[in-house]
Amino acid sequence: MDENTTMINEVGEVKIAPEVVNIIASLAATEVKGVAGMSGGFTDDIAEKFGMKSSNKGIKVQLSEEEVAIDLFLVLEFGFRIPEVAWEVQQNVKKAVETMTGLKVVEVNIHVQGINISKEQKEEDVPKKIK
Amino acid sequence: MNSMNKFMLILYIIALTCLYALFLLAPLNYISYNQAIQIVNNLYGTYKWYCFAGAIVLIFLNIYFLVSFFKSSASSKLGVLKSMPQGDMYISNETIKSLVLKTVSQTRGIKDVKVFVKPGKDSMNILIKALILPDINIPNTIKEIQENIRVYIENVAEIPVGEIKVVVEDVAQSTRLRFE
Repeated sequence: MDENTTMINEVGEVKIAPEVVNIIASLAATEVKGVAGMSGGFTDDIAEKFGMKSSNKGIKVQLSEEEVAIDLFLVLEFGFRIPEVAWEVQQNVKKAVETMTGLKVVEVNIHVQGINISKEQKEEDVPKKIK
Repeated sequence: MNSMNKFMLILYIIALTCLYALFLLAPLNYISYNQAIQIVNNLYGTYKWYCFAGAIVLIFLNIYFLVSFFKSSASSKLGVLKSMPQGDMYISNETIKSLVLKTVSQTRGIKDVKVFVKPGKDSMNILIKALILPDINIPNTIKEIQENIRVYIENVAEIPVGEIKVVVEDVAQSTRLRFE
């Protein structure tokens, strides 16, 4: 994980930890319609099995002086147009991070890792049982 | 899992089973205390280099399986990359497979669908292997599947679809349950 970003003003300095950007980006991404959740790696999955919630699940943040690049690993809902959801996520994350931290978001890369097919949709595919 | 991995796994399981069999037979006195001592003596004496070589092979197999276990998750990194104004958008092959699978499952008369995705030069090639139910017109069903997939993938993911090959592997046995 990268070091904290420090912004110096006339009163003092403001340090922003990468975890802060992680959480903001994660919340901004998951609130977009069509996003089923974040796709974590092997360690995140194991941590989740033990009831631990990882703040950087499915997020990679590269912080520099006043700029930030974000990589989001997402699982999307079935039935939504992927480029539209991706575009909306990019806009939402960029807006949220820039508004809350003052950092400039240079890029938001979206990695669609899978599609979530909900149980209701799965049941639709199964033919009804004969009574 | 490819055939080489399968072969290695079989070797590994056989070796482990032999080892467990030794532990299993010892308490039941099928291997007497003296025999056990003899085996241990051999480990330090006559057969020590054979045991050493065997242990090295097993350790390498362990490492090999561990590496291939982590490598398999890296295979999901393959996919399609599209540049957008705010950054890149990357759609993994697993995502495309899920979309294809969902589209195919909506077609009547198709069972046990397996999807393979292969990125071409500037489009995505798709191979589908499936079983078909009897009394279904195969060419019409395949045509319907191909059209549905092309329209759906191009519309939902905006990925140009190249070839869609459908291999009908067999005719599925349609079983009908009757309740009285």
